[in-house]
Amino acid sequence: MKGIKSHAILLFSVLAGIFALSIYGLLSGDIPTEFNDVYHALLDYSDQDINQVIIREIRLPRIMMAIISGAALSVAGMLMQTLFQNPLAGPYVLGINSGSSLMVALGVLSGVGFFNSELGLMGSALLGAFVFGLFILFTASFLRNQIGLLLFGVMLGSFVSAIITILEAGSQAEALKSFALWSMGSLNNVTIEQIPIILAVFIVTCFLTFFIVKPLNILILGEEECRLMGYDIKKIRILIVFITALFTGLITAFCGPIAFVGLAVPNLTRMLFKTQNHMLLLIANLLFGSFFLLTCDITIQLFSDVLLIPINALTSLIGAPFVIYILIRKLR
Amino acid sequence: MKFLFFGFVLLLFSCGTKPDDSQIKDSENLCKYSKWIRISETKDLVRIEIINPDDPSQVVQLQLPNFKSKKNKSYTYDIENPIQRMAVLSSTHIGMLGELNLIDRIVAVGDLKYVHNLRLKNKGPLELGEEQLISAEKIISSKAQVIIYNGFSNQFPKQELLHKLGIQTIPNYDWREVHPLGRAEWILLFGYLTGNADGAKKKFEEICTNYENIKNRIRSKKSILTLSGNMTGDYWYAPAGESYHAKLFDDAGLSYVFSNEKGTGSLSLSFEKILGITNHVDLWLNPGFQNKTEILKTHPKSRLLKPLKLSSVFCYSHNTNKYWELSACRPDLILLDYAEIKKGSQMDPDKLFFYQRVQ
Repeated sequence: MKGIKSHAILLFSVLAGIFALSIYGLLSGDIPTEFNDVYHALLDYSDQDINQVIIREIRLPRIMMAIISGAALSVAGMLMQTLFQNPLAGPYVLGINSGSSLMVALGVLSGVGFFNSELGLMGSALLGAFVFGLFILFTASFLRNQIGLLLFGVMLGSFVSAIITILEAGSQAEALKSFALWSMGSLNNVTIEQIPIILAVFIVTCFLTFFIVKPLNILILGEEECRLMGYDIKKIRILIVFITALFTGLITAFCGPIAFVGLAVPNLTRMLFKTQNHMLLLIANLLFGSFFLLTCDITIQLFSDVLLIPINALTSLIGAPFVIYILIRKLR
Repeated sequence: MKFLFFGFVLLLFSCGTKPDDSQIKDSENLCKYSKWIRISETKDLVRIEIINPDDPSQVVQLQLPNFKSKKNKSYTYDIENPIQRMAVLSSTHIGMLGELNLIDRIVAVGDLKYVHNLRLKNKGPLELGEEQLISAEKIISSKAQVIIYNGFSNQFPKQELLHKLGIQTIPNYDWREVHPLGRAEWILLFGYLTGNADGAKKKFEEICTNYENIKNRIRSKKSILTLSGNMTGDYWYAPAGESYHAKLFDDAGLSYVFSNEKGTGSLSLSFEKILGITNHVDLWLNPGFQNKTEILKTHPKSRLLKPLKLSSVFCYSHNTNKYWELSACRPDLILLDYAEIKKGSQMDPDKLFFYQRVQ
């Protein structure tokens, strides 16, 4: 009971932190704004007031995207780690992001109109993530070693980046510029008009995840137990890959690749909550992931006058040492 | 390592009988605007000094005969005769040789994809590829006597080998010049190397006169608050207040929003700052894309910028190759474009040479 209470306090604290950071993010920036501007920008918007425009069109989509991306990538990482029973698994490390990147590169650099549209970009990223997810799932059945799977992901990433380099060499300057900018990763490119679509896909995918919480809990016990409980293990695995692809593809399509969130946050939540209850882990990852990426974003905004840090660089700066720490712990 | 390189460059370009230094020192530096090239001329000798902008102590010195008079045998020259076969790695080099009507001297280029000059395209020079990945074998097979490179890094790849084979490698830092006429002044280098110094001087004088005339004509006319640059990743990169572009804007009488910002490079700013500052901006130059769709696809929030709403956005990118090839040596034509753009609704789009309204 005491555990549940402390978990609840921790989760509510993080939720409060997200709320506080969001308000701070809406109020702070290069142009001074007041709470009144935030109120009007959210509830009584006028596009003639520059402060309101800045809040509604620039700060609000960026903050919302940080919340959604952090949550989505963290849950995707949690699903990967449970699926492969490997704390080093994550959409970026295993190369699921690479699948999205490859498909987006094929679409953008080919110059075919449909792939350059919003829908085409999202579809490409989702398809790439799903196909690569299935490929990793298939390969994982031959790899018993956890480090081996990680190395496979790294190799897959290198292979894809080689293909992308070849594609870039033969592409037109404009397409190359678009792809290069996308591949930098950014929370700033999403518009307020795109937020409802992103939010809708995110919420639907979250619901799907809640539906597989029970099989996820049983999957931890092993395949045999899962079968004995009457679950079709193959179907569950494919469903997990599909959900991961939805989360990863959605974020990669709109923000470009964002590294290490999906690896660092699920490990952090497992360390903090010391549980295999996926309902708790799912909620924790949603909240901690949002909090983590929002903190990264606010940090970048705070230091933007001194140093320009892309979001991907900051998440890697924090995430990579964390992976090394986990690796050392495992190798011991 | 830098000292070794410096020593090597000095050894390579200064070996042989020392010229009469007092004679050279007394002679005037012919370059009036350029910061990174010095040319001095006497009856017997032309000395060209190319200064590395990143390390001004590194100077590449070239000695060549004054081709107008007979060769003086008491001197040792780095280049004995006017260059007939040149490899050039930048579009601006092609433009300068084109202005001097010396396109036929080009035997190799970086990439034909980026060539605008039709005569050169039809001639089909050898493609050497990117400066840093260049193959020495290709350069040798082109039979070029000199290779003019951009100097993005301190040393040209395989420089020692090429020098042994008698192929001179000459850096061209025109792209580091801040004054538009300083950039154009590098045309003199090509003139002296090819034995067309008089032609190059005449051309440069012509460009200077045109530039000054246009500047005097338009500078005082009604100013337009102007924005430049674009979003790259999360930041807006714009020319700083003392940069080449800022100087052009100033000479054109455009009121550049960042004209008071120090620096010759670029500024990086958040989009929020841009939106806050540029609420009253009427003109957006050089957005980096040739159409609105591309701009909005790369950075959808650009739609909030007033010039885009007013369709008051102009870019040279409808023919990027032409711009890169000719803009360095013809800043007068850029000013002419700005003069036309300043006319606003009275503008005649057919009179624009480099620029076009972003549609």
